[in-house]
Formats: sequence, structure tokens, C-alpha cells
Amino acid sequence: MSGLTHTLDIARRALMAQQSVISVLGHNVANANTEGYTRQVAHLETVAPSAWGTNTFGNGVTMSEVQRKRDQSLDSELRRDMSSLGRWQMRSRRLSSLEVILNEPSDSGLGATMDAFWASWIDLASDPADVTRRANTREQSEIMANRFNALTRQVEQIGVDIDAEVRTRTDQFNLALSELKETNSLIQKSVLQGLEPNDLLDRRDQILDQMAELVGITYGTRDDGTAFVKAGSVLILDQTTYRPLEAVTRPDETGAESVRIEVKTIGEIDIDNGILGGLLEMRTETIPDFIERVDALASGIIDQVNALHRTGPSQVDFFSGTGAADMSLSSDISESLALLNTSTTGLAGDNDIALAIGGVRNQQIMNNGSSTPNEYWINLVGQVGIVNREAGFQEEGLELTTQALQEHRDSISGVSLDEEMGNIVIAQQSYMAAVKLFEISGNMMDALLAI
Amino acid sequence: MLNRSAMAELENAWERVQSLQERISSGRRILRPSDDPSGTDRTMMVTSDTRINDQYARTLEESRRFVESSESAMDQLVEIGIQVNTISVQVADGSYGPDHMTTLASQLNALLEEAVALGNSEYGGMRLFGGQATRTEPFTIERNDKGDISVVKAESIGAEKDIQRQVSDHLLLTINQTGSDLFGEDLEFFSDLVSLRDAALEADHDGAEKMISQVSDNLDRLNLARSVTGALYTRIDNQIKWTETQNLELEAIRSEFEDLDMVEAMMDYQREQAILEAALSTTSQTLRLSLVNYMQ
Repeated sequence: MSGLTHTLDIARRALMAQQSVISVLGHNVANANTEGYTRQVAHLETVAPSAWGTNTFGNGVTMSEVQRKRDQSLDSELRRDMSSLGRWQMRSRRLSSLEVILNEPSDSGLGATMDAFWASWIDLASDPADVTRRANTREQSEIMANRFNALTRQVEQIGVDIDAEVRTRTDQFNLALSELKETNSLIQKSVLQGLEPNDLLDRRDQILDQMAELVGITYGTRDDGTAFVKAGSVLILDQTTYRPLEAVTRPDETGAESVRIEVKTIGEIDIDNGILGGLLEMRTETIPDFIERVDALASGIIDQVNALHRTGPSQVDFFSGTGAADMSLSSDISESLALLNTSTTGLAGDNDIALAIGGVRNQQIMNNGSSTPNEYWINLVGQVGIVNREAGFQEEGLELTTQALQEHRDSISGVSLDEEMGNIVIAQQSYMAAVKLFEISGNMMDALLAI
Repeated sequence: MLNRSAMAELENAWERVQSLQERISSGRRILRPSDDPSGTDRTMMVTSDTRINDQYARTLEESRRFVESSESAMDQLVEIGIQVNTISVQVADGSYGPDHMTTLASQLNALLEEAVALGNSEYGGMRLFGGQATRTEPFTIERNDKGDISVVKAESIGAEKDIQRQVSDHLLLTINQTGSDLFGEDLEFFSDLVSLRDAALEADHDGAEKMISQVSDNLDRLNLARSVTGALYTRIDNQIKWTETQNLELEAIRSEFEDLDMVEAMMDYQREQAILEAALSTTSQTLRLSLVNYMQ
């Protein structure tokens, strides 16, 4: 009797086990396209055997656990690359915007307006008393000054755009952080109840992916499955810690205001990776550096031209302003062409000042006397090109590696419909076999009872 | 998840096609500095030099016309000088009668008026021989009771200074001749001519005789000034040609870096387009394959 009930038991367990297997497979198939879903595998084990007399009998199969197929170290590597990718993507995007604003090489960029400026003075030197030429020189000078102004404005606008995006991304990050905090507590509760919160763990991992892309976080998981997160070197999430980021506007050394990331009671934190890291790098280093250099060029030209112009009869400045943002014609020159000095003597055919100003193009007034204005600008444009090119290469390289890692992750954690369907067919066969076993054991039992 | 790598490759193929399209429609290999930073460097240097050269070319052309006008005026002055020379000999010749002297005197007057007018020649609103006082008449006259010129005076301020033109980064040319270059430091040409005319009117043959060598010197001076100007004209001409040649070379360099090799680009484009089409076609086919389709 015990033998037959034993067999029935085995059949029963087999049915239930295969049912569970198919259930898990079905869950996988249903979620084949769910973002962030990790394939689950019903892990079957033999039931502990029992002894009968001198023999040991196996007790069939049971489902011991539903395993979540996830490679934590692969996740870790992928998230590091995603952080770097985020950073370089931002750099590449913003540097490309900067390149567009530069508008070089072209006939309408700053280089061309500077050339037109120098040329107008040389042309003026051919007939300094000619009112048309004087007016033309004034106009070309104004065009150049305006171009400096516009360039500065447009680059500063990139800074403002970055500030806005930093705020948006910080909000995004904080949203993910608070979701992670909730997910953590749900995971904790489940684990305390002895459950395997696989779908919650999926959610946790998905959020960590998002966060890694935004900020170069370091993180870890505790034994109970909850995650802790550090940004910069500051712990921002743990069982008892929760510190969202704040995007705050602060002035930098030059007094210009820009956005920083801070954490309450701790202050500014250093984010150097991820999308935010890339944006902040542009905002606090790359953009100000560029603006400073354009400024230096403008003020170099202003100073040199004014010094030459003041030696003429009217003794007034030609340009006013201290740098690229406020460079303009002096009010004297704007009001009266007569005050425009073309020579020290003021004679109608004398042109020493005009020639000298035209010659500033070839004077090494930049970089402590080692570059001409022309060389300085061309060099600056080249630098932007080089930096953008590098960002592009890094972005491409990282895109390839993250893609490869993603594919690797997919092969482990992703659902292959073919594979699942194949497994369902196998499980179905096992189920049918178990049904058969049940049927046979049942028949044998009937036969026995009919005696 | 199922299609990630297929999509990524398609995107790459699209990007390559788009990038080629951009280049072909603009005809440029370098659209942004990052396309080729060192090439951008060369292109910008060369383009800037070309623009300044274009200005130098304009300056050269204007200078050439200025010098041409000067030369033409000097040709006529030399003619006058030759005639004065000839007449001076006649005035000194005692065999000519008073009527003839009067004729000679009026000829000299005419030549004097013409010479002053030529001295005051203009080109493009600028006086040719007034030094840096280009908007002022260089030579002014005083007349006597009879209405004839008695004195020719030179403008004093800036009239002896050089008119300079920058015709290349390193070349500054002086393009004018001044009153003293043409007529002597004390405008001897005019004062001698006035004296000669007076001598003719007074039939002062001896006085005229003494002036013959001076008058000859005056002619020599004019000839010298004219040949200097002629040489300058040639020099400017050569500079114009050199600047043109420079610009052609600069343009060749610019084109080498900036312009797209159209043939190569079109071939690349065809190839990339074919690759894209193949990728699209195969991806759409493989996406449809699945075990599910084959299960009963």
C-alpha cells in the first residue's frame, strides 16, 4: 500500500513541479519584451529520499526555487560603461553645439570678420580722407565687435541650457532615488516574509541602470537584496540614509553663476561621470575656458587698436569695452567719423595709423607675444575641433562596448522566445508523462481494491 | 531586447549614409573643425591669407592707376621741359628780333600755365604731386599786373612727404614724386621758366644765355623723376602678378584640404547605400523568424 501511495505521491509531485515549470516559462514568455525583465528559471530538485527497510527510495521532484538569471558583476561592468557613455555623450553633444556656433571654417565666422576688419584699414590707407572708406572701416569694425558679442552670448546660452538640463536630470535622478528607496523597503519586507521578490529585484536593477547612466554612482547590494548608493564619495541611499541631490546655483571664481550639485548638510559633491558629470564638466570647465580665451582675443585687439588710435589728432579710443561681451565702437567714433584717426599728423595723405592697425593682424600680441590674433583664433578653433573629435571617438568606443555588454547580458538574462518555447514543449512532455504515471498508478490501485 | 544588436547596426549604416550625403551636397570634406582639426587649421590660415591678398590686390591696382596717372603727367611735363629747353636757346640767340621774342614769351607763358596745371594733377580726388597733402593744391600762383604768372609757390605742410601703400605683408611702397623731385627744392623749374619768360619780354639775350644750363638741369630732373616712376610702375605690375600667383597657390592648398573628392565620395555613397539596403532587407526578414511559427 505504502508503495502505491508512494508512487501516487511521486506522480502528484511531478505534476505540480512541471506545472510550476510551465508557469515560470509562461511568465518569461509573457515578459519577453518587458524592459528590465530578468529571465526566471524554475529550479527542480529531488525530494529527500526515505528509507524502507534496507532500501532507499527517492521521493520524486519538487521545485526548490525560482532562480533569477542575473550576473551581478556583468551588471556592474555595464553600469560603469554606461556612466562613461553618458558623460561622453553629453560632452560630444554640447561640443558639437559649440562647433556649430563657431561657424568655422566659413566666410561668415569670426575669422572672416576679423580679416575684413584688417582689410578695411589697409583699404582706408589708400585714401584716408575718403569719407566712404572711413565709413566702411567704421562699419567693418562694428560688425567685428558685434560678432564677438554674439559669439559670447551664444556660448553663454549653451551654459544656460546646460544649467536647465542639469536641473532636469537631477530631478530625474532624485525620482529614481526615491523609487529605489521604496523598492528597497518592499524588498526588505518580502525577504523577511521568506519570499523571493524577483520582480522587485528586477525593478531595483532597472533603477540602478538609470541612475548609473545619470551619475557615476558606486553601489552595492546587501544580503537582503536592498541596494546602497554613493554619489561622489557621499552615501546617498542606505537603510537609514536618504539624501537626494540638489541643483544649486553658485558663483564661481569669475563671479559668473552656474549650477552645482549639492547634498544637504554636506555641501557640494563632485560628480565626474554619467550624464550629469559630463554636463557639469562642460559647465564648469570647458565653457568658461572657451569664453575666457575669446575674451582675451577681444581685449588684446581692443587694447592694441586703441593704443595706436590714440596717437592721432583726436586722441580718442577707437573701441570701448573690456572684452568680447561688451566690445563696441567708442561713442566718439560712433558719433563722428571725423574723430577717426588714420595718421598721427592728420594729413589727408598720411596713413601711418591706418597701416599700423591693419598690420596688427600680423603682430604677435597674443599669448605673451607668441601668437598673432589670426593664429590665436585659428588655434582656438582647432582646439575645439580636437576636443570634440576625441569626445566623438570616446562616445563611439563606449557605444560599442556597452552594446556588447548589453548583448551579453541579454544572452544571460533576456528571454529567447525560441528557447522558452522549446522548454515549454519539454515541460509539457514531462507533464504528460506525469499524468500517465498518475493514470497507471490509479489503475493499479483500482485493480488492488477490486480484489 | 530581441533586436538590439540588429537595430544598432542599422543605425550605424544610416549614420554613414547621412554623413556622406551632407558632404556631397555641400561639396566639402570639412564641415566642422572636428572633421579634421589639422586640416581646418591649414584651411583657415590659407583662406585668411587669401582674403588679405585680395585687399593687397585692390591696393596694388589703385596704386598702379595712381602711378600711371603720375607717369602720364610727367610725360607731358618732360615734353614741356624739352620745349623750354629749345626756346631758351632761341631766347639767348641775339639774332632774333623783338617780335620773335614776344612770341617766344607768350609760348613760355602757355607752357608755364600748363606746367602748373600738370603739377596740380589729380587722380581719384588725390593730388599726384602734393605729398601727403593730397586734398590741397600743391602749387599756387601769383600774377603780375599783366596777368602773367610771377611766382609759383608750393604748399608747405606735408607736401614733401611720402605716400605709402602696404602691398603685401612685408612690402611698403612709396608711390609718389613730390614737388622737389619734379621741379627742384626751390621749384627752380618754375622760377627759371618765369625768369626766362621775363628775359624774352625784355629781349635779355645774355640773361637767357646764363640760364640755358639751369633749364637743361631742370629737364634732366624731370626725366629722372619720370624714369623712377616708370620703374615703380613695373614693380607694381610685378607685385600684382606675384600676388595673383600666390592666391592661386593658396586656393590650391585650400581646395586640397577643404573640398570633397566628388568621385570618391559618390562611390562611397553608392557602396554605403547598398549596404544599408542589404541590412534593412535582411533585418526585416530575420526579425520574422521564430520557433513559434513552426509549432503546431
